[in-house]
Parts: sequence; structure tokens; C-alpha cells
Amino acid sequence: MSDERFDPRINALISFGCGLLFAVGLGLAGMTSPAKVLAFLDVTSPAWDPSLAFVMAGAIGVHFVFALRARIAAIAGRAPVVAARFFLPEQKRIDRALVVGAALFGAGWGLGGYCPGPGLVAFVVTPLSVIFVGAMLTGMWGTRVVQERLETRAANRAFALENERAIERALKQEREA
Amino acid sequence: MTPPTIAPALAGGALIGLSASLLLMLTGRIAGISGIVGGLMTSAGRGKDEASWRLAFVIGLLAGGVALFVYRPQSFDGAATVNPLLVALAGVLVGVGTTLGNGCTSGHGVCGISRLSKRSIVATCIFMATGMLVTFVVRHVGGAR
Repeated sequence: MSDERFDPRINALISFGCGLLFAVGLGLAGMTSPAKVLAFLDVTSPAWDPSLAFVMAGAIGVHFVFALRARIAAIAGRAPVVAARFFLPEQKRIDRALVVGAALFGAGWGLGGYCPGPGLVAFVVTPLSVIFVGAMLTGMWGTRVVQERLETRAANRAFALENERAIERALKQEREA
Repeated sequence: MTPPTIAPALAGGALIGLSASLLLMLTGRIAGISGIVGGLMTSAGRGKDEASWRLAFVIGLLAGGVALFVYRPQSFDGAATVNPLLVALAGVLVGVGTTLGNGCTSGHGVCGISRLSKRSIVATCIFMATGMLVTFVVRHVGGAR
């Protein structure tokens, strides 16, 4: 999605800054500490620690305003500062992949104490998160390979079916002629 | 168990929201970590301009990790398990799950809910629930840890 009006180096610089800020936010919030994460997920414990619910409250409280502004801008056809358009998700359907995926992700979060962002933030710091990130990247890659293969197979099948029908139509026309 | 830390949680959350807002308003992108990383693994995402901002964000996360380690090492307290096989299993589950479900705590939990996306609200309820369930089983049924 390259656009000559915009310098990708500026985008990269902004992204780096945002990544840095994001990491500091995660660390301050407690999301990079598996002890904090499990204390939050352990809701049946008498010593339940609700702190991490406030991370979401703080993040959504700030982002809600800007997400709304971005949506209005996108509908009005306005662009962000250094890109040709807003890249907003278009999927609306709640399908099986979403439900199964979210369930598996939650299980992994509870088991390892890391979600993707904190896992990466801890990558250079805690040896266990190196294993976590390696396994996570493998899982992401493997899933995409399978997804792409299934998509190709479905596309090929549709193409073959269409060809078969075209041949049948041609034969029928020949017989009738 | 950990003592509650409401104020830093709110402040850290606000920084996360600020980062997501800056990325969206300046570059038009959603600050969903699994999406940013996973995008590097698609043929479209490997294009030079597409890959550079994604990699830069990840490098920012890693740099932030170093800064936290220097100035606030308690940010990394605790380990869910010290068994490397369980950690690897957790990583695979997170990788497969976030790819199938198109998002994680940031993409669905923060950005999606902020947009009032039904998909994201459903996903967040589900991953919170299974996270709590697994934690319950490991801590109170298995008796380990």
C-alpha cells in the first residue's frame, strides 16, 4: 500500500514511538507481570486483584474518543496525517473462527501469563518469554500457512467447477447446433 | 497474591490508549499487537513499506522492555509456570488463537471495544472467560504452582 505522497520512514518513526509508549504503558499497568495477570484472572480467589480491569478502563477511556473521531473522519473521506486512508477492520460477522480463536488465546494467556504485547516487551528481559514468543510466532505462522492453503484449495475447486460447467455448456451448444 | 495497584493500572492504560490513538490518527493503523506482528507473515505484509512500520512498532516494544527493565524491573515480576513445555504450549495457543480470532487483548480488548465492535466485545468476553477458567483449573484444581 505504498503512496508516493508519504515517506514510509516517517510512518516507521511514528510506529517506533508508539511501540515504545505502548510498552511503557503495559509495564506501568502491570500487564507484563505474569504474577499480576494471574492475580487478575484468578477471580475465585479471596485475594483477587482487580487492578488489570482498570488498565482496560484507562485505555478505552482515552482511545474511545479518538476511535470515534477516526471513524467519523473515515466516513467523511478524510485521511490520517501521514497515510492515504484509515485501515479500519471491515469484518462484522461473529463466526466460528472468532469464537474458537478467542477461546484458545484466553487459555494460552491464563497458562503462560503473557498476551502478545507483554510477551514481546519481556522478550529481552525474561528467558521464559523467549520461549513464549518463539512458540507464539510459530503458532501464528503455522495458522496462516494452513489458512492460506485452505483458501487456495477452495479457490482452485471453484475454478475447476467453473471450468467443468463451461465445458458442459460448450458441449451442449455443439450438440444443439 | 499481589496487592491492588489501581492508579498505575489506570495511568498505564491511559498510555496504551494514547499510543493506540496516536498510531490511528497519524498513520491510520490499528494498534493490535497480534495483527501488527502477524501481518509480517502475509505476502501483502512483507512488502517493504508495509513491513517497515510493523517492524518499527515491534522494535519500539522491545526497546520499551529494556527501558522498563532498567527503570522499573518489578514490571516483570513472577512467572505463570517455570516449565518450558507449558510456556511453549501457552505461546502456541496464543499464536494460533489470535490468528484465528483476528486479535488479542490490544486489538479486540482496547481498539475493538473502543470502536464498539460486536466481534471484539464477544472475543474479549470469551478470552477473559477461558483465561479465568484455565487459571482456576491450574491454581485450584491441579493444586500446582
